Amino acid sequence: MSAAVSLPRHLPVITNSELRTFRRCAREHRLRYRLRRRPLRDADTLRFGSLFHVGLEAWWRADAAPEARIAAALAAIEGLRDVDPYDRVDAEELILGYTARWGDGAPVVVGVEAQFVAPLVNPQTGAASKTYQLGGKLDVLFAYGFMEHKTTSEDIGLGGDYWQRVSALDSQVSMYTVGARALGVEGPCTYDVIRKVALRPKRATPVESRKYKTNGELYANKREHDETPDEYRERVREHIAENPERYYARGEIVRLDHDEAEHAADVWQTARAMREAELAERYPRNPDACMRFGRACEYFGVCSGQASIDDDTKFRTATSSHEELEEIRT
Amino acid sequence: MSAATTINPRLATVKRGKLDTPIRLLAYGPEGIGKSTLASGAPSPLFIGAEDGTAQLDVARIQPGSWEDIFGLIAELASMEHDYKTLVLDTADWAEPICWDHVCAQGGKKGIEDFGYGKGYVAALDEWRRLLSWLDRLRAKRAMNVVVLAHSKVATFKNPEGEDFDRYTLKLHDKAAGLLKEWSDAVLFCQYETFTHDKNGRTKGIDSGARIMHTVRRAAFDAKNRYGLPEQLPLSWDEFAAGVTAHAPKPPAALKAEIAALLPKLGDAAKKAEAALARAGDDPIKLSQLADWARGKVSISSTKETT
Repeated sequence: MSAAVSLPRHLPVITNSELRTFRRCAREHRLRYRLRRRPLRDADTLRFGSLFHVGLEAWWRADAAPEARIAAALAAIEGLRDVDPYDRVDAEELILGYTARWGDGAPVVVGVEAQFVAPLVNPQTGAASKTYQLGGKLDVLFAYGFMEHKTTSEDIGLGGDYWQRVSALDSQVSMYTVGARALGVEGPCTYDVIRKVALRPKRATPVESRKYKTNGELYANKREHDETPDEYRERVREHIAENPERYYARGEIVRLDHDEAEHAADVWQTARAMREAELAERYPRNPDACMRFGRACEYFGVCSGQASIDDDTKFRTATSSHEELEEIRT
Repeated sequence: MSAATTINPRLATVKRGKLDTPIRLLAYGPEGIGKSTLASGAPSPLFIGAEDGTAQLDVARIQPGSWEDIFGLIAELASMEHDYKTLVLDTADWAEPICWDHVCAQGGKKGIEDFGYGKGYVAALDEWRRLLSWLDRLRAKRAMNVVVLAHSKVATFKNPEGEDFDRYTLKLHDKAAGLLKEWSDAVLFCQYETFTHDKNGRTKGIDSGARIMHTVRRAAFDAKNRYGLPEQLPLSWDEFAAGVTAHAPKPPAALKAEIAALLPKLGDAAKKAEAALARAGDDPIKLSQLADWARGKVSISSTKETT
């Protein structure tokens, strides 16, 4: 399957990420998608997700033999620059564990990073929007169903909060179900979740805190040197091998008729609100969304008057609203 | 009477015509009320589940050995040639422990409670969702009706506005019961027709012997339908099907004619309506929505004219 899909007509595309951003904060949406100003550096946690995603993409594109998959994934990760060496270890070891867990019997792949566009449909009339259309990229497309990869720090055990949230409400699964259908594929979303490595590299004990035994050796919980990436790798490998179910989980996520109807109504209404904001040129800030996961929003400085969105040392202008979607005019 | 002239009394009850969309029906009630008999009246039914309820019925039945077996069977029904027109899950409370066994095997637990904090039931709910999506697929692909049967139990309702009272509910875990009820187009509570009689300050229950289906919710039970059925129906598939057919949307041709007749009265909106009519094709739902909209427009403009 080709990666890009030609458009029936050139309507602006809205993606699930864009809708999610607008739901979170109309002002952030304007800065990120209308002005296309993006922070120069992604947050650390996002960087690991992107890094691992690159490896997984190569893994799924490779021949089905586990050795070929591992080689492709590790080469893809190797090719990335400016990666924290410990993040690189985490990603590489997670790829090896992933192959051990899922390498055998992986379904036949129809497409990787399969791009879709689909009409945004008014759920009341069934008519397609003349203002926007939906778009996105499916991580892996099978003959029956598709797959989305996720990395998380949450507990991914069966029946846990993570799965409850995804099960019926996750908007990405709902939109991508529509997207897969637009590519001619029915079927469920296999949610392929990889838990981030919770271990951290051991750091050298500050000199003033070091305690020595009478024979001159350091006490067991004290260190003279930082743990090297290779030493850290040994610990990570062992931990993943001992706890595969902690690190890897898959679930078949389905959308029932009423889920799809609810999602269609949600998307339509959000798109209308986006359009109204554009026409009125009003993008209200949502102060309740400034702090998430213990971090400030990347545009916090701009909204609070401490930085300028025009500052090229902090922000760049993206080439399009959705750089990840090639060949779609956005 | 010779064999050639024998008349099967069931033939007298045959009704012509088809139900427009395959039905998603959940019917529940006490043991022995006749749930399986109700489902046996559906077009060409195949029963999956325990054999107890259908032992006296001349119906096609199969008893899957595991949760995944049920999916395998649905996959075969969706992909292979057959004459079945209705799939009957008999009963959901028979399937529930099988579902739990499957979840426990996946999670490496001995019992559903061993997951802790209700997580086992949440995982089981995902399995039910998966099953319903497969059933939806079967409906879409093969236009098969899906009938889910379940036993009822009596549970106490904690009434925030007064005294607590007992009501009938599905004999399933609350989460699975809620999902099944939401998914179904009709939830029918099957019961003997019951009256209460006060004598000497004591209330006695009397039943007429008639078996009925309740189609709308009451304090004592859950029920619903999207077909505009009467509140009560005799416990019979034919009665149910007749009720559904009576409230089915008009045929597309009739709807198109009605919309066309309304066009001249729509004024400025006529062009928009014409375009929508062209887009709707023969889709009865879209045509019904458009007809509703056109009727509303005409009604509003005629009200304005009179005032």
